[in-house]
Amino acid sequence: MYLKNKKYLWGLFPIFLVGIVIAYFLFFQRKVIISTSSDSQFFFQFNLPNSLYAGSKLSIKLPQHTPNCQLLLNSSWGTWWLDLSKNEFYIPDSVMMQSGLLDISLFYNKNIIAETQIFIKPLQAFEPLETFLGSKSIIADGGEHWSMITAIPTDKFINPVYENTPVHFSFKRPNGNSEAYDIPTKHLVSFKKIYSQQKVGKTIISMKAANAAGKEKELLEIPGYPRPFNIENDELYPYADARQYFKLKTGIIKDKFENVVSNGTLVSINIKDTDGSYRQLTSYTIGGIARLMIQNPNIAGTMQISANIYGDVESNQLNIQFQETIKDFKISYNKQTEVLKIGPFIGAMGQYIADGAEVEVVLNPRQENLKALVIEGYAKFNLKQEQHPIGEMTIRFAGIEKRINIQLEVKDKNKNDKRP
Amino acid sequence: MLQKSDKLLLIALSVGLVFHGTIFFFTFDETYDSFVHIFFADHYARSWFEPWDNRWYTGFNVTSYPPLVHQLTALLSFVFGLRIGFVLLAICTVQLLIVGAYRFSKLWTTPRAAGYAAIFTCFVSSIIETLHLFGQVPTLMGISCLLNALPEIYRWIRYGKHYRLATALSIMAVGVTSHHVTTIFGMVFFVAPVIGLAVLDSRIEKNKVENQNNWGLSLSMREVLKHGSLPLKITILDFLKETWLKRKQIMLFGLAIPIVMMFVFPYFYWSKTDPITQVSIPHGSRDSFIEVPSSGLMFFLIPLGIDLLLLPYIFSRVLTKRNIFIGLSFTLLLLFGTGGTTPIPKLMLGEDAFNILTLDRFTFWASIIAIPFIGEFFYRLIEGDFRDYLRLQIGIWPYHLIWSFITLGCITLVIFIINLSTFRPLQPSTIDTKPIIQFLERDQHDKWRFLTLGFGDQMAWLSAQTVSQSVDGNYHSARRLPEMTTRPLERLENSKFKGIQGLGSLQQFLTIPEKYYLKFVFSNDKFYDPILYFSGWERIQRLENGIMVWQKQDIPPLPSVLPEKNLPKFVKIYWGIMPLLALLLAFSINLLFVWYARFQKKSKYEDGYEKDFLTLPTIKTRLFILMGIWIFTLSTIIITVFVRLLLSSPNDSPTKVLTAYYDAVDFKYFTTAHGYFNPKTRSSFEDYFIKLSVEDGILASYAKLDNLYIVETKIDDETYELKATAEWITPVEQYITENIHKAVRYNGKWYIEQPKFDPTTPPDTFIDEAFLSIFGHGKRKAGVEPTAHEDFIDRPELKILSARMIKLDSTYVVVGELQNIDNQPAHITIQANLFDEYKRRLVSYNAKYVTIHRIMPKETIPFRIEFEETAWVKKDDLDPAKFNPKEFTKFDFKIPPKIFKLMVKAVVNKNDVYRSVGVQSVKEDGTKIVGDVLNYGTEEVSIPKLLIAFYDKNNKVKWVDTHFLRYSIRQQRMRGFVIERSIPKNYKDVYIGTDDDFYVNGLPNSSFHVPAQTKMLENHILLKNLESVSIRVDAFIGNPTIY
Repeated sequence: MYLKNKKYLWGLFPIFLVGIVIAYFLFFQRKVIISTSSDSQFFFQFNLPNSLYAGSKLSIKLPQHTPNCQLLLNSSWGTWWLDLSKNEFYIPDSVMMQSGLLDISLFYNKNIIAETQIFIKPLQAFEPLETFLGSKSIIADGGEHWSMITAIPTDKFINPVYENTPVHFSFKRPNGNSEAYDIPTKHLVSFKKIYSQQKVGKTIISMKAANAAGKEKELLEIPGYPRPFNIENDELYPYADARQYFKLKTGIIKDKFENVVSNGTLVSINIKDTDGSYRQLTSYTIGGIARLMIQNPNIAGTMQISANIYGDVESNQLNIQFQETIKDFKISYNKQTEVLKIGPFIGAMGQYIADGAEVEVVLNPRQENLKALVIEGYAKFNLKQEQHPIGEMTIRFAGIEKRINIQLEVKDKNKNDKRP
Repeated sequence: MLQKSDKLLLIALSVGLVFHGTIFFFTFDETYDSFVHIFFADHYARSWFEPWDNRWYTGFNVTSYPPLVHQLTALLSFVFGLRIGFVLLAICTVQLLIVGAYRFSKLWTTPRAAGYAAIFTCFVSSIIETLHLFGQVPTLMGISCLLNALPEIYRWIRYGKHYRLATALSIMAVGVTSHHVTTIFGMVFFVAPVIGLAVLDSRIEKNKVENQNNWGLSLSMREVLKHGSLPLKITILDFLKETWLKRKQIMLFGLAIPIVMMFVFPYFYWSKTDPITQVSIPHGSRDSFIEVPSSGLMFFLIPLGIDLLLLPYIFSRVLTKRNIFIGLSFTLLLLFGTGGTTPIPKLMLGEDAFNILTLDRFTFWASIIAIPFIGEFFYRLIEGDFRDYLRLQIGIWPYHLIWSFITLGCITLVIFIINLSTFRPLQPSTIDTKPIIQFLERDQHDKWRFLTLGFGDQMAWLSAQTVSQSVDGNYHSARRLPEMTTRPLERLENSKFKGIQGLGSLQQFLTIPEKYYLKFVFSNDKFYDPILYFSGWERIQRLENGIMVWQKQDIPPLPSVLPEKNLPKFVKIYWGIMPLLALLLAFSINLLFVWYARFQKKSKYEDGYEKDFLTLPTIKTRLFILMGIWIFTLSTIIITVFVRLLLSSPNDSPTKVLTAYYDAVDFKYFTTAHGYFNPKTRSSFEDYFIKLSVEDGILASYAKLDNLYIVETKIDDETYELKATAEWITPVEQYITENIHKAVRYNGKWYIEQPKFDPTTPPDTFIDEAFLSIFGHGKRKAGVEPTAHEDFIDRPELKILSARMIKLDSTYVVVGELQNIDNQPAHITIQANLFDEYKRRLVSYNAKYVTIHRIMPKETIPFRIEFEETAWVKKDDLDPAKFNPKEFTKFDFKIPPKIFKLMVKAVVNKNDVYRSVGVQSVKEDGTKIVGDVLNYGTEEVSIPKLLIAFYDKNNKVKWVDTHFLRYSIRQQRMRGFVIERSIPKNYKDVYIGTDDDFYVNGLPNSSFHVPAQTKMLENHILLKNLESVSIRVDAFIGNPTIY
């Protein structure tokens, strides 16, 4: 449909116009320049060596009474126009420092009179040798990971040296072996891949090209992924007193080449408690060993402990038996003071259990949970402060459950008891 | 030979010099604005002709404030330094103000009374407040120029000598360049009444000469007469006629005003070319003074001061026929000054103007208008007709009593205002800025922006001393970042006091600091520590002055070229030259010209002004009765309120004692708090205090009490059970605590029972733990060179294990999990970018605190990223009814995102790697998960944060949540927690990310290889719905022992 309408051809008109303009510049303009270019008045020939070392001095002398002409220098770094001073062109040192091809053209009255080309050669490698290392640390996994040392030898004007200049690399590996390589530069660079070995530590690297040495470089080889490990416990007080701590430590965690894992490697410790609840604890390794303190459970039974590191790294499972710390407790109720006294709580060895242990009291009709803390062997409830008649209640402590039925007297509000 | 009245002026000037000159040295660094002006002065001292300053708000234009005072301070600073320069300038301004007040007074009253007014000017409470409390020297400069210009305007209008037009305009030009707002409003409230007065006076003079009979509405002029008491009649028509005769003067003056205004042309140019719509900042002067008495005190009672007591006299004088114009102006100003107490100012000014203007300046101007009349009152009371009248009517001693009472009131008020900052500190105590300056100058730290927290207005002084840039600033008109212009927030600095809007802003800055090149935070307020820590900042140093320096790792330095809003060169030069030129002009016209005139024919400059003097009205008994009643009533009210405050005791009722207790705890007045405990059962204060001192945690140390609701339940007459619901603001979220207290009556007073402390004793007296301590040299060779190539440390390698995008109603969230597979602890920055179906980027944001930013080798960490928009952009969002720091503004997704890319980067982390804290006794209990957090290490955990990750059946993270525990956990102790088991109800999976969507340190996630976890992880707790949960603890240690 669109094609049928020929009006779209008008769209080509601007292109046509542009074409004309381009054609004008291509053919017509060029001719103008060419027509003025054969206007030379004298002849001159350069008499220069084919090549020079970087940093040499160069000046070009013209015959006496030469008219004022200019010199064009063209190198890979840029272009310079030089003016004549007393029949001579002094080529700046900055130009002569740069290795590579240098085009020299003499101009007179906008025309080239003479042209030549010289090659500026780089000098020998100069100190310090520019070197780069990366990555700075690799995993000591027997050759999977590698790092690379790179040197770019340059002369004192920072020109890259000749292709195939040999660079000497020497390594001192963590296992004590020494290695040395001579690698010629290619495309300005000389490089060597360093494959990891099996021992963790520093590889010290030195380089030398001609007489130029470089800084000491170091490559760090680091331990790989940890392997399954053991856990063991220590200093255990085998009663479920919910107070004392015992120590847990892992064996030395190592990677598959027996390198100790790095400090700070996180170990998760997972515990299924004697009452079926869970613990999630963490610790990290120092010298390959992670240590932590674990609190005794509150109920007798078996505690299952295992540890792991993400990535299928697991330990053995440790089962620890805990005995009950108290067997029984008494309950007494004082009608006068309306205080419910629970205790004494006597531990496995005939001692008071520690302060702060929680006694749970459930008011049965309302299923309301109250908590009291054991202080010096006893837990006390001031029932007077509870505003309601209480009835039957259940008291739980360390897996022992007891029931008691207390009927409170209905308070006589008019009596106005002064006690706080 | 000096006139008698001029001697009083000399006395006033010396009193002003000694009084203000001595005191301002001690008060200026406690004021609100002094340092801001000093900062501006510093700007001019550094670059006079470049109005752009990069140091605040990521760059702003100083053409937003009239420059004269700043430029003069800058000039003085070259000799005296900034601080002394500013003080000297302020002293000069006060001198100018006293002269101005004297000359202004002579328009309304006798010269002798004007002398009294000049002395009174030294003690006007509004001026003292403006100078010694607010530090607003430009305002004072503006008003003093205006006051000095007014008599000149009067003389120009009345006598029409062109020389007076020149003096009037030149003085006004100086006023414009120091504070243009004063001049603009002064046109209405000062200049217009004075022009009216001049016209009226001309008419009165004519009447006196002609004494014609007039017809029409009579304006009897019996009250104030000139030259005796000829009964004159002036009608409105007369007045209009006279105005018509003066049209040339009025027109010329009116036309010249825009030209004078052009002295601050760049200001108008700036406001026109760079319009920034900003949310206005709430100001106390707009409050209802009855509902907010503190605002009423600050913005109404204190500035008016003694004026309030003498209000009947002022009104009796200004509401007379001759003074009717200034009377109208005074009444109007007083009315506007009442702020939001009555709806009238809002109706008259309009909603917009009401919300932009700070209304206290109206009160200020009202008090300035009152000066001549108060001066006159004192003149009459001390040596004039009042004295004779009172001595005759009520005796000598009562007369002495009366004047000493009023004078004493005035003096008391002055002492009170000057020392107000000591009674109730308005600013944090003075911070030694030197260590901070040195820190910023050291090791290229000024290549990043910084932020100060809890510095108050001293941040301006800090900025004035350094070239380092702050994202914050202290001059709200120049706020440029949308994060700030959209909020009623002046400074991030004090965001604590601005509730959610402030903290919301601050959280955005701290969560994505890369955007602002923000690397250092100087914290003078512990309150902000938790938010800094949990959003991934670390403490690096406590400076000698006690300021904690926090830094965020991995922030790129500022680019060497910063965006700048350039002004035309002409405008820059204009701004640099014109203010001083105005001052120079005024100087030469007013002083040199007058001096020159001494040699000229005097008549050329003379007019009748000096010969023209006023008489005072006769005494009226009813005025005395009215004033007596007024003063008596006012004093009674003030004394009653004061006595009530003194006598009321919190022990009067159970609710009162509990409220007082909570207040005492909030302000950490522990002796007072202990006093509210039942004396019969409480432990000794030492015991209470020592038990309290070991308590820490977000509520005890990092919270501010916001609201308290108490419900009383009566048990018997002597005992009440009180349920206290307290709302606390913390930097991370809002807490609501519910506690049951028991109140008992003892000796007729109410007390509460002392709360019990945890009696648990840890089993071990001594514990030890191996601790990982890391040090990074940074640059191994000290020097100014950039860090050498070999000193760079490789970025730790991470692996993103899984991530997915979730839709919750209209908002999107990215959750996932990653692992540190390296051998060094890593500090991580997790950024998620959302794209629509055409892969156009919609939004990107960083993980805030739903993750752990410091990750140990081989550790896995879940994270959740929410997408926030610059909050409160929309108008209806402006005023959230309730404070909630947890709340955030959801990004408004116009196009639904389809995929996301996760960019994670890491640097080696050295600090905050405490891991000896875990959970135990964790069980599922109905819809909740309960358990205890146990600290089995050697550091006290100030704020434990639980990071709860829910996993689906394939062990991939489904949802991540956080829970901040309210109390600290000491070593070998635990605290219980209860969290919801469920994930959000409106949860909907959108896209599950693959390795192609994940990037670590700029490389694809697939380039990192680690063994995969194939089995169900044992540290996941299996839930009844066959999904699992893991709970980790991020421990903020407030006072680490290793620092």
